[in-house]
Amino acid sequence: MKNFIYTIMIVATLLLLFNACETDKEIKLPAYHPKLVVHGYMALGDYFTVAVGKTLNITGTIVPDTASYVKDARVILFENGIRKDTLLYDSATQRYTSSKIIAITANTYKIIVEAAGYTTVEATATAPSVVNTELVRYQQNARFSSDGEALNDVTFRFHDPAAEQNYYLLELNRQTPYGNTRPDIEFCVYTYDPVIEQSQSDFNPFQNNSCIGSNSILFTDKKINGSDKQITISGQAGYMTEMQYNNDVYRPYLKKYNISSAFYQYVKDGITLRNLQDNPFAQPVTVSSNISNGYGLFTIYSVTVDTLR
Amino acid sequence: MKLRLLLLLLIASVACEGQTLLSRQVVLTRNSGTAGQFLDELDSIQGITLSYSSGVIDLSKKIQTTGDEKTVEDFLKTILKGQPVRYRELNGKIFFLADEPVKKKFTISGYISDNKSGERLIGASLYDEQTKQGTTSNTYGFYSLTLEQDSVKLLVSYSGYTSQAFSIDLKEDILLNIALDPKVVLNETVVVNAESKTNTQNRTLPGKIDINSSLIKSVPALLGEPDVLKTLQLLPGIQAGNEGTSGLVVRGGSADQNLVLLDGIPVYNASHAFGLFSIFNADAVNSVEVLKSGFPASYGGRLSSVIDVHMREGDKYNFHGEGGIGMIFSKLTLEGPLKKGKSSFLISARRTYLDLLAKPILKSTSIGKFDLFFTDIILKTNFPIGKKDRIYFSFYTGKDKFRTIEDFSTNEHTQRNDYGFSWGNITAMTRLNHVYSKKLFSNLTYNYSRFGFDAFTHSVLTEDMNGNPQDYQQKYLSSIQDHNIKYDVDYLPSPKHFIKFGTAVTLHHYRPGVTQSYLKDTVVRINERLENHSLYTGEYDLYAEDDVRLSDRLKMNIGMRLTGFNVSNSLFFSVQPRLNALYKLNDKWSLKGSAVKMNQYIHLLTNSNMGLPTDLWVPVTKRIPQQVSYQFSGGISYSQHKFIEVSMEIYYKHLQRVIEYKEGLGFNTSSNNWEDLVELGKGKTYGAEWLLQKNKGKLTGLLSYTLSKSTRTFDNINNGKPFPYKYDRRHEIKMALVWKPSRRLELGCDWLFSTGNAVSLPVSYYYNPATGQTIDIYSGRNDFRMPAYHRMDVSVKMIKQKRTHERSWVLGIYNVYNHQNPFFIYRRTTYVAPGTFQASFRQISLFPILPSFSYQFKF
Repeated sequence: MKNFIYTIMIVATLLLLFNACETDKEIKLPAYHPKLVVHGYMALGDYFTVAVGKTLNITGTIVPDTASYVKDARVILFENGIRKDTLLYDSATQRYTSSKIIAITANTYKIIVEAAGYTTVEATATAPSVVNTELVRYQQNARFSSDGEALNDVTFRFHDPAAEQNYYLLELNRQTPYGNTRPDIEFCVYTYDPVIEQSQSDFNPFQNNSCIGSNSILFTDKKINGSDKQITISGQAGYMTEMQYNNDVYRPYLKKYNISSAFYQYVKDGITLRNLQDNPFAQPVTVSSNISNGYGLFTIYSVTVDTLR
Repeated sequence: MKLRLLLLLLIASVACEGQTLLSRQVVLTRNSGTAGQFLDELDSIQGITLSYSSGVIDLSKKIQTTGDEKTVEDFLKTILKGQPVRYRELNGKIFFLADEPVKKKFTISGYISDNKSGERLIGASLYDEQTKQGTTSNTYGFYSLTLEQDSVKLLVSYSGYTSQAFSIDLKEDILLNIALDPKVVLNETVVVNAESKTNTQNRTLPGKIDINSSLIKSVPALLGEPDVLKTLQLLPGIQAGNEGTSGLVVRGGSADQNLVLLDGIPVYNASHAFGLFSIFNADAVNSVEVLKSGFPASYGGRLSSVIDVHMREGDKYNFHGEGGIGMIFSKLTLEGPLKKGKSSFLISARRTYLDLLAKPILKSTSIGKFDLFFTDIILKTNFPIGKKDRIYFSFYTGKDKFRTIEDFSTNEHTQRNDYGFSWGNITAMTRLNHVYSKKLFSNLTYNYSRFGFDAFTHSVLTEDMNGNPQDYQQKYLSSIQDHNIKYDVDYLPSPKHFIKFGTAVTLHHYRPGVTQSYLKDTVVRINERLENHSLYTGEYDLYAEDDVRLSDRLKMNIGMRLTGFNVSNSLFFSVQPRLNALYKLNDKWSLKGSAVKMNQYIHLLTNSNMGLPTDLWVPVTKRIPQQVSYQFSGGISYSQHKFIEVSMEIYYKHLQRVIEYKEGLGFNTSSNNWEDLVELGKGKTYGAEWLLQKNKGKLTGLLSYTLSKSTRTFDNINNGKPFPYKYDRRHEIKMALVWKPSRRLELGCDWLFSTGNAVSLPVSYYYNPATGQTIDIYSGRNDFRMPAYHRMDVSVKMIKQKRTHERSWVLGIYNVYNHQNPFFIYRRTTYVAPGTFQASFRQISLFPILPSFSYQFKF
């Protein structure tokens, strides 16, 4: 009986304190006018391929991403200011593709996308050079994280080109049976190297060595321009062990992308957006875009891949 | 007095009519004789009439003319030479008036206190009805009034107390300690002392409001616990950040721009339970002084407001106490004399007891220990050291704590998980009051203030998966700690001047984040301690101000504050002029104005804006220098015998170098550098506030309306365009009423309405086909409004005088008509049918209708 009374008192108090109510709320939004969304990510040597979609109404029925694609657009490609191709829509991949133009280092490419009912959009990208990795060292169970998890160290060295401003994206992961697509699994990577961007939590912006997503390790050559640079990153060992499947061995790898500043900012914004998605008090993230009059990203990158053994 | 008036009248008249009679050329027959003979001869000349009394002029005085005298005035100068007499021409006559003797000045000084408890009264008013000159008591009840030798009729008054009049024949300096009796009639309590007519000193400051503890205890409160900071939210221009929280937004300034003082000591986090309650126990509060603008030079360090909470010193004559038992609180305050009439003490404590109630239930679970409470304790004492000195000690500690210890055991192993976090303030103060002379009063104070937050986890496993015992610990600590020494002097040379000057040195110790990790199985695997962010800084202040009466109608408070701050070999300076003025149009109407510059050397890193204990205070740096504000305000007020008071104030505030996290959550370019996380910008806030108060009668209360606008501008946010500040609220209406029909019943009601908070909401979205991520598109920062906020609270207090004590039952209802006020709005996706989802905006509301009760006693 005594416990029962106590239970009621506690539950009543908790209910009073934390009985948050939730209701639908009509918010007067500006009239919805869809805009074109263009995404084109080309590696050096790839044929130009872009996805054209549209923005969607924020309320009401949610449509799947495939339903947001615009299939009747005209996508015109320019190389160094000269019109080179009109990309054709491939219904299998739902992308607009060129069959003759590939991205070549130092060339500048522009696309113009037109579609009935939408404002015409355009974007420009310059193809970067390849920045080779000169050394890669892999050491398993080299250290522990502050949570006590075993970490594998990956050390790599490269020479940053002096003539250009470089932005880098690293991807540390394990090969998958699904080919060259970006892996779904992302784990924690730690580093003490100050050139690597650290994603911070509001809880402690002074905290060193916080978890960085293994597919989104970013740094620039701002402090290392034109010099040799060696970086060590440490990934969670459990996610980096070799895996055998149908007689194939899937090994960990390190991909180093040389990307544009627009791509760099786009990835950063994406990470920030992901970190904030459950925080109702956080200020909004405006994801950057290099598509004028529209949204998305048109970019060209170079990439090096090193398998870790 | 009448003589002086007559004289003035004469002077005025003469000025108007000219001096034809005095300049008339005359010839006298005699060149020697008595003064009487000469005057008779002058009077006998056609057209010259002299009017004098032998009591004024020594008529027998021997006079010898020089021969140079030509005019009537020349002769009068010779005749009256050496006599205390002046002459004036008026209506064709020459009048002779006795010179007033130069009167000596004497000083009346002493302390004003509560006759019942001996508590010193802050801001009590003294006023000489003869000369219309007056002053007020300072923070320690000390006053000094210097007047000419005369019969003085001194009227001493203080809100909530019976005024006293003293007739004094002022012939020498007088030490007069005055004890005022609290008013017996309960319904005579002044609600808000913003424009007290007799408060001659403080009324120079626009934007200043004094609140006594009776208002705090009378208005309805959340869960029945009277709250100082929530009471302030009923005043115009002062808003709650979020519903239910104690955070304050004053005239569009952010929460970190409020200087909250507990007995003069800065407090860095003034709330318990994540902002639901303030740290000030209303039973121990004496008064609260709030400044929204017109800051005198004696205050500094924050941009937007000063909230100076004075706790009681304790009863010097009788031992008594008060306390209460509520739904989640119990509290007790005891006070009494250490040596009757000389010294006193006060001890006050509060604690929530949710965890104590839960303990019997938790006995049957794996939870071995469960702490969930907050508590605070105040200790104060003061006693005299000789006739001219009094020493004060004060100590406060408050803590919020959550901790659980849980034990698990299986056949293979046992595990103990210990997890918790806590935060709190500690303040301590030693103050020496010294009366140098009847006109000079000083304070030497040492303050200590610390706010700390810590979180920890400790896990002990008898056997991990490798068969080894494991001990894992992690700790996070952050704190800010101040040591401050200051010296303040009050100098009252005459009723026309109230001069304050002083200096202070503060040593700040910032530890914005320290993490410790430890892991041991077969060996110690981690033993990290990162403490490289500990930082010491020094802050130096020097100020002087004069509350000067320039005429019977015009008063000014003129001051200057000079401050310096050194951090990491960088030195920052600030010169802050302060100017406040009051012009009395007549007995009822007055005009006010102020222009002030304020400066702030610390920033608050917060992403929630809710005043959470995890928010971090950081000092200025070269890249992120001090915040500065310029505020101009002016107003007009009307007071009808303190019964009805109406005021209107307009203000404009410009904020420089305010900070805001970069878009989204911080993303650091190089670790350890918070400067990379924030943007520097500026703010603009302006508005008008109307306040109507009824201070006397059975029904007292206030009604206010505020029209305001507050914006922020950052180069890299919202494309550099100004956007509404999160707590920009265009309209705000507030009402608080207290009805005391009898001494046994008290009814309270308040109602608040305000425009909804500004929020950023997405207007559309798109998919990133490479990642599948949904990306929201915003039209701008804070360009939508939450629904309007409004709420009514009521309370009933039933008071009964028992033989040994007084008891009260307080029943209250928060949000009586159960309006669902917005706490935040988010976009939610709901399942409708297979493959079909709907998105809509949802509003989260915190507090529905909340009844409460508490039992209170006083003995």
